[in-house]
Amino acid sequence: MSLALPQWHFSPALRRGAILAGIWVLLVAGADVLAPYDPTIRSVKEVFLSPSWAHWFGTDEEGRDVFSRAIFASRLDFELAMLGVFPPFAIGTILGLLAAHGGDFGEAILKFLARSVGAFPTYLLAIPIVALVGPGLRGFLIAVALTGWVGYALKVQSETRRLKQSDFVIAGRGLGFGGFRILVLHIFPNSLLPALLLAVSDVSAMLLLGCTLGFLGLIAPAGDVEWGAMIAQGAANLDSAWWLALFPGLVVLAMATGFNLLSQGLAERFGGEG
Amino acid sequence: MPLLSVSHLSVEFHTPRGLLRAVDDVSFAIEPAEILGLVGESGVGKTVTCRALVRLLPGRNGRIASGRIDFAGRDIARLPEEELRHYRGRQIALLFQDPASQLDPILNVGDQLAEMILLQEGLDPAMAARQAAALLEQVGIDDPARLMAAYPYQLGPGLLRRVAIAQALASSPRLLIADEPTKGLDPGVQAQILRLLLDLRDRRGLAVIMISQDLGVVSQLCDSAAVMYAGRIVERAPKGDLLNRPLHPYSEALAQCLPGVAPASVPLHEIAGEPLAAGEVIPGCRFHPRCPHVIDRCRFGDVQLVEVSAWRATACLRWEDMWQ
Repeated sequence: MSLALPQWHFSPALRRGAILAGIWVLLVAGADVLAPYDPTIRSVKEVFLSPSWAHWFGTDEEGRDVFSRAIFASRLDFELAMLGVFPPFAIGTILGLLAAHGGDFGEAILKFLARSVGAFPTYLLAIPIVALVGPGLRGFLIAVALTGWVGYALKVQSETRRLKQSDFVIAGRGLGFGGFRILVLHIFPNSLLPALLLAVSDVSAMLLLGCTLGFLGLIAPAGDVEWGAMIAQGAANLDSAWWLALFPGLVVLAMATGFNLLSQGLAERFGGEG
Repeated sequence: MPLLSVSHLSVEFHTPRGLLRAVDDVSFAIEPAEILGLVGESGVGKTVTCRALVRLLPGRNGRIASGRIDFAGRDIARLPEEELRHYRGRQIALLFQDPASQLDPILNVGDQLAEMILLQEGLDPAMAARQAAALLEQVGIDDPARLMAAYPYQLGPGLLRRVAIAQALASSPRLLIADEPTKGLDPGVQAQILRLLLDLRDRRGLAVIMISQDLGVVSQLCDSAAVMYAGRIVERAPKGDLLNRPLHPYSEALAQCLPGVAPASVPLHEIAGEPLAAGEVIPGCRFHPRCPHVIDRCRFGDVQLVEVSAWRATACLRWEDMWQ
């Protein structure tokens, strides 16, 4: 006898991505329990220890356990990646909808804005903005809000453009619904899926941007643990203590890969192109 | 006085290959509580004609080039968009070919019907839900409560069609335009939907313009019928006459294509040749390349629809020969 479970198909990409993302969430939630040492305890006797059973990722120049620090760093990086997705998502979605609603004129304006922002590499725009606003999470969020919306806006705009010609939207007009009502109640919810898929893949882009800014000292100047900052710290000692940069680097790589796999799997599952 | 009267309606589309006239000088009228059939093969302009009646042409490049669409004393072809909204749904409702694509895929049936009702009358949501249930009962659904929680993708084509009809009826229109309402349905369900349309006509005095490729369905259901070919109406006739005494070779050919109407000894008929491409214009009668009765006169000039009696019109030059 077979159980009448819904036919959920988990592709390998979806499964692996979900596992990696799950590990990240676990680290964030359970850092206090999972970390073998207090990440802030310094020990003069234990500086620059190479990886061992006692210190899996070795210790740094102040004798702190790198493994524990990497676990605690998951928290700030999680905030960067997750919160970083929201401002571009919200701004891009609204701009895309309004542009498509505004017809040829609206679309021309959006195209101009998107080209203006898109002409610069994201990092080149983000770094001066953070430097200007001031380092930290707030500066990071403002920087991504100003630079990251382009992809969402173009996706939602093209989706809206397509939906405007779909039968149920024309049927809605045939029933006498107003244009704005159709936009908000019918087109917007239906154009959300591609934007959400983009947001999932954007998590890893936000992580990488956050770590890059962290590497440059623009995220955690007060000394909060953050993967990018850890890599920067290790880069200074690369010839003597290779583990300092390598392990945080691998962690970032794993987490970014995790969300890429997740978005790829979700896109396959829901038929978008991710 | 007719409810809706269309005169000399032409619809054009801008395409990369130039201006394409999909509907060319079409005239017809429909009385209250009349069911009018619009018959023809795919691509002859039936759907475009009907969509033009509420100015919702498919695609972005279409426009009404000329003609009048008189409804309740106003010319819809010249109504400003803002006023048009009061005609759409409230006076003239549209049923699309594919009921699955007509409904918003992510709203359940109840919400979709309620939205329409709330918009109209400013009721509270509970009353709107009750009205939605009543509407579903009117279209022959026994268990509206269960259906209202369902999403379009969960429903079969017959139920979807009924839901779409219920939605169209929500604002009590006077004219329903139904684009192939029985397409893709099982024969039993087809009969139910046709029965429902007749019922609505009888109970509500609803006028219906029904697009169909099936002359059999049209002759059973409709009070009158218009046959379209290559963007034009080639014949208008009251119920039955089209099948029994067609006055245009194209109608005759369509009738002969119906299995079961012709005696079993007659081999199944097909119409020779291809229909004209949308917007294609040729001199003479547009059907002449496929016509079995073609004579020299058919190949030249402009062949117009002419009234041959109070109820009938044909665009065939040889209609008198066909009469015999």
